[in-house]
Amino acid sequence: MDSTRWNRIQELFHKAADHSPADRLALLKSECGNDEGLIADVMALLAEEARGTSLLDRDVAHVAHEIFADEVLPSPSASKFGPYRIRQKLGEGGMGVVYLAEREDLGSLVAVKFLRDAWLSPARRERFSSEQRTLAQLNHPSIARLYDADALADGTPWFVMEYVEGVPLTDYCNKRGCRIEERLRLFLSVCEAVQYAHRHAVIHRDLKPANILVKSDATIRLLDFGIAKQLESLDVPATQTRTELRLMTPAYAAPEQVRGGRVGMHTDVYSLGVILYELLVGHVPFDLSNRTPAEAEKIIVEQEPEKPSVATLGRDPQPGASVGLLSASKSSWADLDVLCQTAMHKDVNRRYRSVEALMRDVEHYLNGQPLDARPDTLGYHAGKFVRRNRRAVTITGVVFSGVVALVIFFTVRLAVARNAALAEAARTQRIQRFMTNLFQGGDEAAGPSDDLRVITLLDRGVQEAQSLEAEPAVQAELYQTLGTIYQKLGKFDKAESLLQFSLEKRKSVFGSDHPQVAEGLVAFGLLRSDQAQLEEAKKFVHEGLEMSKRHLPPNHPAVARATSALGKVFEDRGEYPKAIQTLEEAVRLQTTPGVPSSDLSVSMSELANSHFYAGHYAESDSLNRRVLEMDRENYGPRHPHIADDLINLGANQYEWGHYSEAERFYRQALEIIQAWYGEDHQETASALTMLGRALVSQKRFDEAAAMMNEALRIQESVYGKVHPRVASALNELGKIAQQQQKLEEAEADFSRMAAIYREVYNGKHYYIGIALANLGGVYMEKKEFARATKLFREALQLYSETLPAGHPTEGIGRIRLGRALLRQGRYAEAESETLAGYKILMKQASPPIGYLQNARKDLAEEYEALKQPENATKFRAEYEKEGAGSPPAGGR
Amino acid sequence: MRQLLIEAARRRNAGKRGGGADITVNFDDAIQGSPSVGKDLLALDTALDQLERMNPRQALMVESRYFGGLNVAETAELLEVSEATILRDWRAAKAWLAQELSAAR
Repeated sequence: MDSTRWNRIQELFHKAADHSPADRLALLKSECGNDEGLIADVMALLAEEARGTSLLDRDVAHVAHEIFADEVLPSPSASKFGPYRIRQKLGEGGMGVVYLAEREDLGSLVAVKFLRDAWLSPARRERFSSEQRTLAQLNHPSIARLYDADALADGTPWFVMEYVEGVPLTDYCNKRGCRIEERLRLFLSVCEAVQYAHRHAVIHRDLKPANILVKSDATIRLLDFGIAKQLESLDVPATQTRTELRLMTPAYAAPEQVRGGRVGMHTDVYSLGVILYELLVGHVPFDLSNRTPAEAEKIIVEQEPEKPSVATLGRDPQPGASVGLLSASKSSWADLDVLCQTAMHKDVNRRYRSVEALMRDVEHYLNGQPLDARPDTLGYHAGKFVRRNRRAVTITGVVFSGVVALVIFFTVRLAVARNAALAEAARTQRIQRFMTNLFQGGDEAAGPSDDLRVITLLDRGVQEAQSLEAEPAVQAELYQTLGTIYQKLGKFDKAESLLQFSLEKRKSVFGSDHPQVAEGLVAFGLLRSDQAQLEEAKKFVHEGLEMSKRHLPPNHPAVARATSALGKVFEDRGEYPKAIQTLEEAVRLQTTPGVPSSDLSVSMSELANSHFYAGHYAESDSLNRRVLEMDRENYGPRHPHIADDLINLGANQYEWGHYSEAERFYRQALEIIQAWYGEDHQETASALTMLGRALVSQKRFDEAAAMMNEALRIQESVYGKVHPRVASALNELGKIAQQQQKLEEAEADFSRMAAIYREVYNGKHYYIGIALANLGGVYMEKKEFARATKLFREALQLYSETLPAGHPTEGIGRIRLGRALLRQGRYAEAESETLAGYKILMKQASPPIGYLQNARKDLAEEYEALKQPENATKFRAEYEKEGAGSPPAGGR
Repeated sequence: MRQLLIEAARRRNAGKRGGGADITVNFDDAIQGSPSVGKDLLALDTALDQLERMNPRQALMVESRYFGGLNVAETAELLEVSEATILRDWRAAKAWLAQELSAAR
């Protein structure tokens, strides 16, 4: 139907609707004459309206709920499960059964665990899924990811987890006959993962070798993190009161766990102690096989384990098991005894206070330093005392734990009261954090779970929004979060409508002048910046910042974040001095206690980038090193943030012309990225591109070409043919082709690169200039100097429009233009360009040597021709002093 | 929002079509009749695309109201038209979309 007809139909529809049903046909006949079809269409619409039941009459939230929440899932026995096809059973035990499944759309493998004897009542669903959100946030290379969890329609809970191929920790060590140091190192990496989870307030509760797999590359993965806790939210048959114990392997359970006492980080410390014991001795401290649960409980609570040194004595080393362990000296064994005893202490207060404390002592042992938990400390004697006076201590223990319970009770009550007062704010923040975290777990691009997370998020988001209809403020928050996520995914249109709704909602709730509105303005401004609408971006962010400052104390985190955002916008606008000034202010505001160091690291990283773009490489380098240090602290050594920092450091080295240093950083980054995202991911591709760059600059063309082609293939499949990342790969391929004298190929690559940048950046960006200059370089090789000159001039024009004056890129551009003119015998013009370029580069703290040498050589030649022998001699001398062996510079 | 709901419905539908004997349809499924929601949603998506060609503003209006959850006043403000226009447009669009939906069943 075309619009004219549709408008006519609507017009008649409204007209007829104003009449009584009996009169409608007559009216239409008089209006339409003989157009029977038109009459029929309008009548059909009227009839449809009279029926009045369509999807559109239903609330979209309910529709969404049906689509997502009540997704019909097959029983575990069916071979398909949501987007997964179940391939085979991996194992069965305790309450659950685990299947290997494949995501049909992505082809990736996951493990799906169903808990068969448990069910989730509707009342407990909420708690179950809130637990799951926490777990989904755990993002550590040694922790198997939990992608999703929910229950089937019949209440059977299920979990979708990362599928890990590997062997249990103890089997791995025994089969390979690992030496004591190797075992301790593996143990430390287990501890590191547990410590990470503890920092996120997640306790494993069921640590045992079967849950710790060693992969073929000797890295470890911890499975089932926190799932034991989740089981608490399940309904279990009344006969099975001690769910947790039944689910746990008693051999690794802490005394407080089997007694039903308070479980905490110390519980994991105990289990780690048992694992350490088993790693050292070859068997667990207590043999609980053939024991009744009551007997097992008694043993765990009361019996002291044999010291590892004693347990290994006089025992024939099991084949492959304890071999190599006995090599430890007697005094070493004394320390190992202390390590195990302290980790496995029955009294929580005498145990290592944290996993970190345990790790420290393991490291002390490995470094031959005295342990913190030395035998002469109070704990040791107290342990002996306990053994002698067990009965008395047990009674005191009961009294003591009663006091603890009271304290906890009141603390919790206080917290509840305070939370009630802060309810709305807290809830808002919680929702936002939860949702953003869901995505930022590993970035929007975090592999197979990506799609699944979008669904999970929306599902919950819609449900949350539904329950929050009466709270428009929270709804606004939700919209903003969703909008920001769309923005990160590059879906700017959707981001825009959501962020706009959010901003409008906030204005209507809080009035037009309020910190909440300020936050909305900043978010909207950052979107505009991503949309390259830089004028509006500045306007919004600036307005938001001023508004925050009016209402909040100057050192408030929101003010600091808004300041940082403004700096980012200046950076995007290429106003580097302003960006630097503003970001320095943000860094200053964020360098105070109470501000999360992740905020600080973001601002500092942007500051480093601004310095980099402004050509201040030394400042950029030292800032990036600080960012790297901070991020390592915050995220551990193998997080994608670390890879980003390494890439920034590499880029600095590259700009300095330290290509092998750059290569080193890029390789470290590539390793992290490949491990994190997988071989076939856009992040991997862009890391390959950068590494390719560094290899090209070292003239290792074959290695580089292989990487670049791989990168190009991934980029094109991910982004399509027109995208800056594709252009970046083409640039490198062009350079390689040029170096190998495949000039036609190079010409094609650079031309396509320039076309892509032109399209993407709307004709205005210095990247276009770089593409044109590189194309000019090809014409230089083909001795088409006039053509090259034209391109270099065009590039310089773009630089002058988009870069600050005196930028090193401009310097390089002038030197290249100078050479083109020189080759045409236009010496005077050539001299002025080369000299201008040379002066620009000389102002840099660490100028690119290759280009400087080119400039000196050309200047000498130019002055020769211009009959200025003194100048010619001067530059020739400089050239020779620097060393004629310096590599001449190629393209950029 | 529209896109995500539609994608989910599509995936759901694909699962249903392709699954055949693999799928155990359970009791809940039968009483809720939810598969038709997914199908309706897909039909709505198609119809909205068509409406967009016939009258882009009207399609945007439906999308904002239905998927975006805006009320009449908010939609009017967003589209810079009067509330009366929104109500008129909504009424006609709804009838037409309902017709398309029932045709697709």
